[in-house]
Formats: sequence, structure tokens, C-alpha cells
Amino acid sequence: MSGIDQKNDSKLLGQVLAFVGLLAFSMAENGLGYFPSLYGSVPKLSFTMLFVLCFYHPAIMPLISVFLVGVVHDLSQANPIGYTSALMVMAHCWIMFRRPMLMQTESGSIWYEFTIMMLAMMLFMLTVIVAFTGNLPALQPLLFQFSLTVLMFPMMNWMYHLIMGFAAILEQVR
Amino acid sequence: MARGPVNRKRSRKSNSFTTHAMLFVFCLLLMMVGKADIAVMHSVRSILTGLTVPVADVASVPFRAVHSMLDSMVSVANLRQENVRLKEDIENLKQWRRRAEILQSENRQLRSVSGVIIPDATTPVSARVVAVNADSFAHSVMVNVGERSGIREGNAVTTTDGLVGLVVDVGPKHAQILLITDINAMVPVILASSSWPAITVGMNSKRMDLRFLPTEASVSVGDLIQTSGHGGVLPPGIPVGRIEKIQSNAISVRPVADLQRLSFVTILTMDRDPGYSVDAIEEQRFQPLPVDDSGFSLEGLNALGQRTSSDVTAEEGDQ
Repeated sequence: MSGIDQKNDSKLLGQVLAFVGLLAFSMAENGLGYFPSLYGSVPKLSFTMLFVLCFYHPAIMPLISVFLVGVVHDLSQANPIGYTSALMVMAHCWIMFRRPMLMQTESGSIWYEFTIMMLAMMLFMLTVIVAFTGNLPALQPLLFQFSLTVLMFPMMNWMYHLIMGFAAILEQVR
Repeated sequence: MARGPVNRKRSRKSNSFTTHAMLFVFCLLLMMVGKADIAVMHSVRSILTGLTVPVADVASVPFRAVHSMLDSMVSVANLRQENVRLKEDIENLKQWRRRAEILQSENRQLRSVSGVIIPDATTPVSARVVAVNADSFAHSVMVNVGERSGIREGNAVTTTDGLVGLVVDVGPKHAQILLITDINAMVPVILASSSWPAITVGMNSKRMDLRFLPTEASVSVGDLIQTSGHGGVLPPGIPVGRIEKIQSNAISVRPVADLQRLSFVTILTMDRDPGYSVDAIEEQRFQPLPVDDSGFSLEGLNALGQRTSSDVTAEEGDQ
């Protein structure tokens, strides 16, 4: 019984950490806008993190956490409330349904899947912008944002493995 | 019996999809309610945004620090070159200042004769940019002053270079500024050289489009665009941008203010009711000035503000 409790506590702690981490990441992501070359098209690193977390640790990334991170992100920005949440819920759904199949493939396929997912996200973003403003925005920043996000995925994935490897070593030492 | 676990798995998958779909629809509903601009929703959002501002401010500190450090390094590298350029600029500015003083004096005299009221009922409030929304959806920034500093929705926001945007949302200690490059931003402007009216429209990129410019207006690359004051939201005469590219179907304008490096901005708050109809004044102002030097816009001055040859000759004759 105590073993189950311990497992539940550990899962809850993991969920809280993942929520705080993703939230901090999504807030910090906009700080990249201070760099002139990235202004207006900062890479969506929070989506990369969401993908990695949901893919490797689905249990610590429940749907409600994803939704709440999106809402807080929208509140801190000028986006309509629900915009980032909708994107994140879509991404969460995508990863959860594709995960069993992707688990048996190599990293190149995962990157390809992420690219397809981001393309779908970008199309949804474009649709929302057009629907809300009635104007077609400049496509160049959107394409730049998409390309940068996709290109940075392997680096983020590698960083995740590096951190996890480091954590495993620490655990062994302890 | 053997199909039990498979069915359970399918059922769980189906439930999960339904939950996702329901939450997704809820998000869409939230967006629509937000778009409907309901007062309660607006105030709730304002309060919640106020709570997230300090977090966003803290989260952006490392990036601001790195950006500032990089900027400083570049500045040191360019210091000598910049010094020479600045000296030249100072000389040019001194000449322009002398010219401006003369013109200002003449302008004041002419205004006193014509009875035009100068819209000077604004007070500048300095603000620090605490969060940048650099997403492709919206171009906006959050500043650390709000209602308590007298900021109101619709106030113009500038830097020393020119117009940055306008205040669209105000909390007690924060304000959201819609930048002029945002897709929702439309600024009524005039061509500084000829006074032809037009509207700049943001494109969510680094440039804006110039639209509704009368076909008979002539424009060239580098022309200054400034606010017209039409509609009474923005004060007239604030530089907005310069014409960068002219194509058959579009005119591209580059903002004069560096929107990618905003640290501090000035918000122009209205002190009091200006007591005049801006539109009425602008109707007087919007008589397009002739571009040709030979045409006279004001007696004794041509469209560029230079003294006309006949007056100069007359003055020389008097001497």
C-alpha cells in the first residue's frame, strides 16, 4: 500500500514539475523576441518541449496541465484566450495517438512526425489569424518560425537525453 | 474473452479522443467569447494578465540581460565610427534646428492669424517594456505603467524616433500596447511631403502596407509618413515610417521606430478634453500641398518650407 502511495506521490511530483517547467519554458520563450532577428517569429520551443515530455513521459503531462499552460501563456500575451490552449490540446492529442506507433521507430521518424505536427499547428494558426482579423498576414515570419522550430527539434531532443542521462548518473551515485 | 483487453483499450482511446475534442471545442469557445469583447470577460482578463505580468517580467530578465550585453559589445566595436557620424549629425541638426526655429516662429504667427488650435493637451509618461509578444499571431508589448499613471486605452505610444503603437488594454499597473506592425493596427497617416492621406496597415511582419492612397498622389522611396490625427485617436504629426518599396499593387513602409529593440517607450496621455473637433481641424489640414516648388502653400513659403525667390529678392532689394 505504501509502495502505491509512494508511486502516486512521485507521479504527482512529476506532473507538478512538468507543469511548472513547461510554463516557465513557454514564458521564457517570448524572451527570445528581444533578439531582433527572432522578433515576430520566435521558435515555438514550448511545443518542442511538450512533444518531448508527452512522448517520453506521457503520465506526467496530463491534458489539464497542457490546457492550463496554454491559458496562462495567452494571458501573458495579447493572444485571444484559448488560442495557445487549442494548439497545445491539438498537439497533445496528436502525440498521444501517434505515440504507440512512433515508439517502435527511429529518431528520424520522430523528427518527421514533429515536422508534420508543426505544419498542422501552423496551418491552424494561420486559419485562426485569418478568421480573427479578416486579413492574410505576411507568410514569411510564419514560415521562418516553423522552419526554426523544426530545425531546433533535434537539439532539444538531444538536450533532453543529456539531462536524463545526467539525472540517471546522479541517481546511481546516490 | 480474449477480445476484452483490446476492447477496453479501444474504449479508453475513444474516451481520450472525446476529452481532447471537448477541450479543443472549449478553447475555440473561449476564443469566440474573447472576440465578442464582453465587459466581464475583459475585466477578468485584465486582472489575470496583471497577475502574469511580474512572471513574464522575471522570465524575460535573462534574455534582456543577454540582449543588452550583446548590444553593448556591438556598440563598443562601433564607437569610433559612430562618434564621427554623430558629430556630422550634430552639425546637420544644428542647421536644421536653426531652420526649424525660424519656421516655428513663422508657423505660430500664421496659426494665430488662422485660428487653428494646436493639439498640445498631452503629457508624456515613460514606461519600461516588460514583456514582448513576439509570436506570429500578434505584435504587442506589455509595459509597467497603467491606470494609476493616467494611461487610458487609445493613448499613443512613441519613442524618440516616432510612433510605436497605441494602448489597447490597461490594468492598474500594466498596459498592453498594440504595435503598428500588428495585423490589427491601422493608422491614419499623411505623406509628410505632400499631405496626401492614407492608412498604414500592419502585416505581422517588420513592414506595413500603405493603403487607400489617392491615385493622383506621387510617392517615392524614403518619403516620410506621419500620423494625420484623423479619427481623433492619435495626435497628428508623429512620424510613423518611411516608404521602403513601391510596387504596382502595394507600397511597403518601414517603421521609423525600431520596434525590435524596444526597452523604454513614451505614452502620450491626454490631460484633458482638447475642446476641439480633430476632424474639423484635419479637414483644414488635408488640403494636399503641391509637391512642385513653383506652387505656393503659404504666402512666402513653398511646400518644402523654403522662402520663395520673390520674397528673397524683395528682401535683398530692401537691404
